[in-house]
Amino acid sequence: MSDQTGNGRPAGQPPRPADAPLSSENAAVIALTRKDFVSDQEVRWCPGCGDYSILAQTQKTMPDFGVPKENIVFISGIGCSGRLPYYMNTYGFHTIHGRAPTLATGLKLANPELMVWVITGDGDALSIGGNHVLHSMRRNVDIKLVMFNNRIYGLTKGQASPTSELGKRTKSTPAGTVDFPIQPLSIALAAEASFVARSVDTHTEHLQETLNRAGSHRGSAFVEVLQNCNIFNDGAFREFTEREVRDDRMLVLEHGRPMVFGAERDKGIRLRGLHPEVVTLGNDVSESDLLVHDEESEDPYLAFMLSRMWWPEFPVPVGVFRRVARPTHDRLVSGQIDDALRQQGEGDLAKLLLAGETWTVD
Amino acid sequence: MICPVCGVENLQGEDNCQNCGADLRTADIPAPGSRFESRLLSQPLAALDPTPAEVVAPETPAAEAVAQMQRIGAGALIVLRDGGVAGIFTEQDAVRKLAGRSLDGVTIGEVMTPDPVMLRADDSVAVAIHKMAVGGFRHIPLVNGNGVGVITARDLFRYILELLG
Amino acid sequence: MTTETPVQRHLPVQELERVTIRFAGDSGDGMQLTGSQFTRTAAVFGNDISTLPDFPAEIRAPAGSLPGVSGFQISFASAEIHTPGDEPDVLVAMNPAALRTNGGELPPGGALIVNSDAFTANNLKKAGYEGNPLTDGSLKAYNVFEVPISTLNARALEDLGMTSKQVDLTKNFFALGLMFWLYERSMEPTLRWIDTKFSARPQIAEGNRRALKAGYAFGETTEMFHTTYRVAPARLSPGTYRNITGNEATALGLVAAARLAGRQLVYGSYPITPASDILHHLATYKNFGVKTFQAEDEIAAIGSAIGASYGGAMGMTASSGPGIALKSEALNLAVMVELPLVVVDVQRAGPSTGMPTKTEQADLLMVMFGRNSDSPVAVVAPATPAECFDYAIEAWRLALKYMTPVVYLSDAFLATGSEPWKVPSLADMPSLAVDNATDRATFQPYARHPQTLARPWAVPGTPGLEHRIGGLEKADMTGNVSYDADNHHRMQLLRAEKIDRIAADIPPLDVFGPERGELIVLGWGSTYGAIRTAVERLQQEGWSVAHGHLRHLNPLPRNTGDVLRSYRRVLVPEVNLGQLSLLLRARYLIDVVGFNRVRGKPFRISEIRSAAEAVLAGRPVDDVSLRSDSQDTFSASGQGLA
Repeated sequence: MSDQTGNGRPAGQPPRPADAPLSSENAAVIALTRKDFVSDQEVRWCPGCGDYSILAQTQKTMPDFGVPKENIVFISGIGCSGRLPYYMNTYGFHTIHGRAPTLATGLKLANPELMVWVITGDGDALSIGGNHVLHSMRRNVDIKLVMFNNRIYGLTKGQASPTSELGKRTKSTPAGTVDFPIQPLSIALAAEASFVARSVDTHTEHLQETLNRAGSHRGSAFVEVLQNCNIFNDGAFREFTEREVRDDRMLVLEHGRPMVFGAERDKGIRLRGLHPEVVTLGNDVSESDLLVHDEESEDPYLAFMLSRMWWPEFPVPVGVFRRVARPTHDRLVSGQIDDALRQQGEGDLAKLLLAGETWTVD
Repeated sequence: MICPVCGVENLQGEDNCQNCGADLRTADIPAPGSRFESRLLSQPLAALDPTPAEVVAPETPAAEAVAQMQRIGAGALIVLRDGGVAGIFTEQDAVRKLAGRSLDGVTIGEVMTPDPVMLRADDSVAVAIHKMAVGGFRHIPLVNGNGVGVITARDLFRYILELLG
Repeated sequence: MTTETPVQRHLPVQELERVTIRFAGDSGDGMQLTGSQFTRTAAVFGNDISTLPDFPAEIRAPAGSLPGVSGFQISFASAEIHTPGDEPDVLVAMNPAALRTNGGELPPGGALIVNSDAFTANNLKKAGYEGNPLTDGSLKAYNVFEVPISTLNARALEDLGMTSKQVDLTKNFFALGLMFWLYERSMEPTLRWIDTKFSARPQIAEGNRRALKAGYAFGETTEMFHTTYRVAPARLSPGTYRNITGNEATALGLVAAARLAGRQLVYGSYPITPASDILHHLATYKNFGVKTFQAEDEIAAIGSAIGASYGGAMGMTASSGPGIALKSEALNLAVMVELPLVVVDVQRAGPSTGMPTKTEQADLLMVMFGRNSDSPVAVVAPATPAECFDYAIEAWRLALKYMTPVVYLSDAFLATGSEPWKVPSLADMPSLAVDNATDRATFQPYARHPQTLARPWAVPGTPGLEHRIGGLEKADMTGNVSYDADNHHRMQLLRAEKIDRIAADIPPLDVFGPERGELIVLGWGSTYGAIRTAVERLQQEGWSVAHGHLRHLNPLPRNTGDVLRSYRRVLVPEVNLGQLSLLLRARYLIDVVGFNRVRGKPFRISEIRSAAEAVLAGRPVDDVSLRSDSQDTFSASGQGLA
């Protein structure tokens, strides 16, 4: 009879110590490169789509984790973002609309050793999939959820999404939407996600670094990538992401550093009562007056406040908002199995069948 | 919760004891703790022999009504209109609403407490106690198939005294 | 074997083949315990038994009220029996509410034993009686035995120093003792059980023992009863038995299947009546490596199951009708990606929320067809609580071998009813092990096994086999996304063919009775007991009737058409409006006759029998006159308790 204490790992898989860090220390052992992650499928996104950039950064960052290629899985939902697994030369599963986090949760239960990425979009994650995002984050399932937010439904050709601005005119809302949009990162924080970050599709270095940090995190990671859909919602974020203005209109968060932004590094965020305010450094304001970013704060007050900041009232923050350590779902479940084995010994099936009150007929 | 039959601890809300299989469905619901409580909850008001109500019409002048109460020593009058209870006028109402003012032209209908809390003869003693405690009154009209009575705080005290032996 | 307590008998003893007793009372009256103890004693004695608990409709109800009544029906016999009995021979009613809700089911001449102490004005009022049925003559059709159980019991426990509440909780043992005397049962098994279960409370244990013996002694000394009864042991096949409910058996079967396949069981589910108990049982089997996951909703439950199967585990989920409806899109994904998955549907009365605690078997067409496009899945349905174990294993055998979702249809009657189960030996159980794909040289995601048409199971974590799957249509062999017209047609045919080939791998439909004849009664699921008993009786009277019972609903056994054509008529009783009938007619062009009653209850033997007689006589089945509850004095249908 086979081992019932294992996690159904297939034969031939070299054992990995349960606590081995997913860091680039292991990279030397397995020399993977970006090319290893490029699949043979011709990429079919629209020319000019922000997804190309995200795909490139994703492929670039995979080798850095030092995870054997066969242990990486990409699970997607439905949307343009849903195509991504086909373009990664890893195990991939293109599932149904909104439900990718649920399959990812089950996959981690079956094999906690896998590195599982969930690729989703603003519609897939926040409309139909809202409930599953909420619960996979709160359970701290060890998945890296990357949400491509283009504020529109691209695949189905241009309907409003939960992040579309109020009054947005689309095919389904010709008179403008009457729904207020939600802030995805506020949702992620409310769902107790233990890693929350934002980046931009065209800010390639920052995006790669953000994905890297998400991948290295043990627990639920929620990354919002502001993505441009040049066909159905071109320029949704251009106002602040454009190269010329981004330094003045975006705030790059760095743990332990005061919140400074601006091309001249002359502006900052200060706390006034319970609210952030934008100040200019100079006469009566110095860096020591500014808010210092803290990724690791146990409570999410700061991160939540940052998630509310948006252009033009504030520079749009990017980077890691929150990064805390909590036991992961699959670890807790495995832990209970281990506890039961310790306390009761391995299950004796013959005995289990005969449990309760039995009688014998001769 | 602890099984009342075999004493083994079970999860809250268990229908059957995991040890002896006893049915736990009436073990964890609120139940009268003592015989006293049990009697209060089960005894209908009819058993207290409530007094028939003194009734008046709403047009009755207030002065006349009060004089009637004084004469017969009643603590409350039930005001009937079209055969149904329109209001109640009690000693409390007299003190609160009539004291220090002229009663000329005032009818009982104007100063009664309209639409009072009412109970039926088969409602329990416990309900009456509860209503009076919450509402801050001492008289409740009692209706059943044949007429109107009134249950008073005094009736309840007498009953409780009986129970306490 | 047990030792009988020797008793002086002065009364004549009547030998009976079968007795059905219904115990009914408030939850505080302890009838579930009484019923289960009587069951156990009968089983130990060697009778064949069948039980059906009748739980209160509400989670909690005030003591003595109608919604708070709970019952327990046990049928025991000297021959093999298949149902808990159409109606009781004896009703033990511990309070007026119990009499009110159950009295209508007692046939005229039946025995009615009541706890006369409980028939107070207050209790009578709570039960909605105007007068007192014990005195107003309304019970004259029955043999009424008024036993002051509470008083007699209290007297027997007088000097034990227990509170009156504690004493009251032992009166169910008094009732049990009386029934033991009446049916010549030994008190020994129960006395030993009391010793074990109440070891922490010696005073209560003593109280229970005395109550039991007092009830028995009352039977011996009272003038009330004029006979006692004996039901001889049945000739059951040798082995070790335990009483088991369908849900329990399902859970055990799933654990066994995981052990036989050498893989981990990952069970995702969402609480729903009447399937929640499977989750509760499996959650206690952690030391068997079983991972249970209470998902946030039904879809997350099946999503996690599919993800787990993708990861090489045995992913599964269970629900009832409304939950299965929610799972349809995800189930379809499993069909497209051809991963092993078991979906348990413990059917209940619908549509929509329906009657959550009542049984029905009306989800067959939903699980066959309730998905977009042609989407075949294998379907199995156990026929008895004990078979729930075997078919859990069978469901997994098919899921693993054919890389397909399999739906396992149970129902509320199977789930909560119980029967003796001969515990099988592990040595007799088949291995369910299947291999994961490993060879990167030959691997293609949608290459198929030549015989089963199953695709290879390439589990993430296996080097060199990286590939992508998903809900989009796939090219044959390569598994790449394909919109090619001919490919789609071919893949649809392949998926259907894969399920059809299972027919070569399952036993043929076998028949109880003559191989050709006038009538075959064909059923599926929990109608087994009533159909078998009805057919047995008809056969004994010389009728040319056979009973066939399907356990595989999709695909159907290869010989099904031939079997049905061997009889002049085919009768298909179903607790739905004719779902299997529809499938049989469509498939075999046979004019089957449906007998359909959707009352939230299992069929009575008499109903099936009358329907069969009608068909044999050439009368329309709807002509059958049934014993209608509404004609009785004690109709409880107005309270929704029928």
